[in-house]
Amino acid sequence: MAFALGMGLSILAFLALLAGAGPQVLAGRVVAWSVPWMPSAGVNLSLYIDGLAWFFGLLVSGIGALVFTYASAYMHGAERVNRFFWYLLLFMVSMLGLVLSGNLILLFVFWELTTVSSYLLIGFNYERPEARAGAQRSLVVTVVGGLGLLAAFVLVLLATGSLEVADLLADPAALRGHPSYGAILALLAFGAFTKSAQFPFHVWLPGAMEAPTPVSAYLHSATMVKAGVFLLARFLPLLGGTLPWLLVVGLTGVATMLAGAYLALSQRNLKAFLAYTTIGQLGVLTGLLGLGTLPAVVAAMAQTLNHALYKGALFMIAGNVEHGTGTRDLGRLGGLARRGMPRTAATALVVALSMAGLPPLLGFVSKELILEAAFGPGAHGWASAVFVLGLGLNGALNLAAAVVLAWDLFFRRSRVTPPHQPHEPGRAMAAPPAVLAAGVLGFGLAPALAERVLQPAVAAVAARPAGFHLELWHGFTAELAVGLLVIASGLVAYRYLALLVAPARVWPPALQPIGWYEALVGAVERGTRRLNDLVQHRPLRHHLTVVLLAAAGFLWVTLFLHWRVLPWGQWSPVGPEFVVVAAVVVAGALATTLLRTGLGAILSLGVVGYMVSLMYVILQAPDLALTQLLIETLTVVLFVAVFAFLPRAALRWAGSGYGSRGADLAAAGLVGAGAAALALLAVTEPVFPRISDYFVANSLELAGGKNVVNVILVDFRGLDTMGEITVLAIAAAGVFALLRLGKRGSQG
Amino acid sequence: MELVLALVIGVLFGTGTFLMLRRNLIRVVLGLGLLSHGANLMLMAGAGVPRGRAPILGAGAGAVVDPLPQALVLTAIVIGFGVTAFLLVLAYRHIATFGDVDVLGTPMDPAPARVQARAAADGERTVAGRAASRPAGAPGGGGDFR
Repeated sequence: MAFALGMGLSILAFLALLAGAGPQVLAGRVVAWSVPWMPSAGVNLSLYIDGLAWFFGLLVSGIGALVFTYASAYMHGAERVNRFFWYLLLFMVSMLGLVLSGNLILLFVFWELTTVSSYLLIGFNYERPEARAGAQRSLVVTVVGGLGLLAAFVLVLLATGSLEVADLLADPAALRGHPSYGAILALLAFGAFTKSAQFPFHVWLPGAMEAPTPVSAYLHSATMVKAGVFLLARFLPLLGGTLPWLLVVGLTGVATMLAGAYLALSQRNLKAFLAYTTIGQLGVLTGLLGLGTLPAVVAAMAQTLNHALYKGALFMIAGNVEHGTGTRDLGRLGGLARRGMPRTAATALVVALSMAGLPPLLGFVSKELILEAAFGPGAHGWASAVFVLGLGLNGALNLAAAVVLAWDLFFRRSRVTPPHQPHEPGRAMAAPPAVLAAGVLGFGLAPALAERVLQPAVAAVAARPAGFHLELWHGFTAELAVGLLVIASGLVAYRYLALLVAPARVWPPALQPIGWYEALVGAVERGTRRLNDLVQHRPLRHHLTVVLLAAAGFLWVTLFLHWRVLPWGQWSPVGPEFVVVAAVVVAGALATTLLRTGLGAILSLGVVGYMVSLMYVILQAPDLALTQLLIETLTVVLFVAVFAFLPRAALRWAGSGYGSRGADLAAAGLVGAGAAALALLAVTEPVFPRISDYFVANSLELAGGKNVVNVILVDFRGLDTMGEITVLAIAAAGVFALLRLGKRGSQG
Repeated sequence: MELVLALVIGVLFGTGTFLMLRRNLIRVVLGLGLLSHGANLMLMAGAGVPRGRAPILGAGAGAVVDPLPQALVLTAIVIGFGVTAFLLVLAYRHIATFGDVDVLGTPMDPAPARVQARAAADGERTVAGRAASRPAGAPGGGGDFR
């Protein structure tokens, strides 16, 4: 059911975009649609299909249909297949929603949905600890990035007053000149970098290969990691073209393209190998968008298309290889073309050539564009040098990686034997990568077709009608010469591969990028455990001390902030009777604490209670005085009654504390002083206007009572008194149950 | 007047806290009693220094004091009594089960080794000895309850 829904929806979305929105978008218009959701907050359910959204939407839905086809065979007979397709459906719909959103909050919601659904998919085989760890890592990194993105969007709202993409694009200069431009750029880039696995936030992407292979094919080609690229492209017209943008986005891209391409070559697991090449290519895309010139945007869009097609195909081929041989260990794979997988080998050859950037494939076209952008009119001379070096090195390393994938895996003579006798996959698993291979070949042979698809996207990102022309053959240009140099260096890199990756193999784990993540998460875990040990995880009395001291601490802060309001030297007059009563209360409280005999302590508590009732008299509260008198009598009777049942030795024992007496005294002193401070503030400054006037004014008229306190209790706040009686009833039931339990216990 | 009232409240809170940190359960209950008095007076303090007569209409002329804190405190006094009664019986149950009023070493309050050692050095009843004398299967004796 989920499969049929996903398949149908992806094809439907693809056709709707192609036929429905296509003519409009190709003509340079925007398809927009909006219904209010929370208009007061500027949040609407908006659809905004310009060239960029259209291009990404086609990728998401088109590759989605292929992934669903592939997965139907790949997941055949697996457990929880239906759940898998629901997750995949959610993943696809979230990504489609993300690229088509016309409102930033809506975009954020879909952004987070891709995080959640990818988490579910990566952890799909949750029996495996690696899958759980990979899923958790992806969740932590991308959720933290998502929070940054939300903060960026809030700042955008504060700066421009709108969350609508259409409004923002209508006034592209508004954000660039705004004081919070720096903060918006930093937060937005953080969100995009975590999602698109940019260095040093790429740590989650290799772990994501724990997902079933169809998911990897989708996640690496058209979804998830492309969300960050999409976001950067969306905001390039709003935030780009400045030096901070060039430094932040561009240099991060350069670092990522080098790290990813280099680390890929040191991997021995086929899927990890592919994952790191993805990181490298994401670096290329980010770097190009960071450069932000028109040729760079053209190159970025062309390479997005190229990478989506070839990387989706390569992951599907990796799945087919694993399916056919039983392993994805590169050390146990080789010469598969002659060993029963010729058709897969042919597909792999085509896409690997496109990955390497060789003619006559789409990869060649986009590589020429990339080199053109690197040599083109950059913002600064040094930036141009950095980009030429970075992109050139990445191209060379990427070519070496492509040679490993095509030559080593399929064509080179090899003596290693895979676990199974290799065999070709079924049609449903062979066809989708073949379609993608046909794509890179078709677009390569007919660049005009690619130009037609990319034109609106480039126009949207560059924020102007883009006049560019794609051709397979540019003639003998400088780019061609540099391209040949890149190819030659790539072949040299491949020749000395073992030497090249040796440093990456012996690199200490602590210095590996994944090390910082583990260290950070480990530190957070240890820190929280230590904090927990400090305030909890001890006997009850320890908790009590912590709670009381924390409360006292807050009181002290309050006093510190407000001590000026105290009427120093202008205290209200105090009668001698109050002083006497107060002195007796203090003496009684100290006696309760210090007397060694139990009976003495209980009688002292009784003295305190009676004296407090006298205080109520002085404070003009006769009802309280009466109640206190009665209750105190009952309490003393109760204590004495319980005494009759207690062993005498136990009562005579004053009882030491848990810790040292000095520490307990200090805690008691701090709490007491804090309480005194609060009382002083409370009695001198009634902060809130009295709400009691209402009761005094209406007591007689509405309730027919003259004693206002009583009227409040039984009439105005009658339900509270009901609750009070309920508490008493529960306490009585508890007392009764405990006494009964005691009887039964002694009998048994 | 403010200073005297604040001093009384501070002493009640301080002594109450000190008693609640004792190992003798009866003293913990006494401490809660002192703390309750302190809290009730704190609520009364919220009404400010009394500038008027008791809030009983028709008993005289002039302003009356704020009746609302009094209503709150009245409720608190009664509930405080309920809680005290319950705790006293709970302490009684504790004594019936464990043989004395010491809360240390019970499942709710496991003693760290150093406290046990100090208690033994002081010649007080050791927790280990008490645990050994406790009848097997006595209610509340489950060692894994935390």
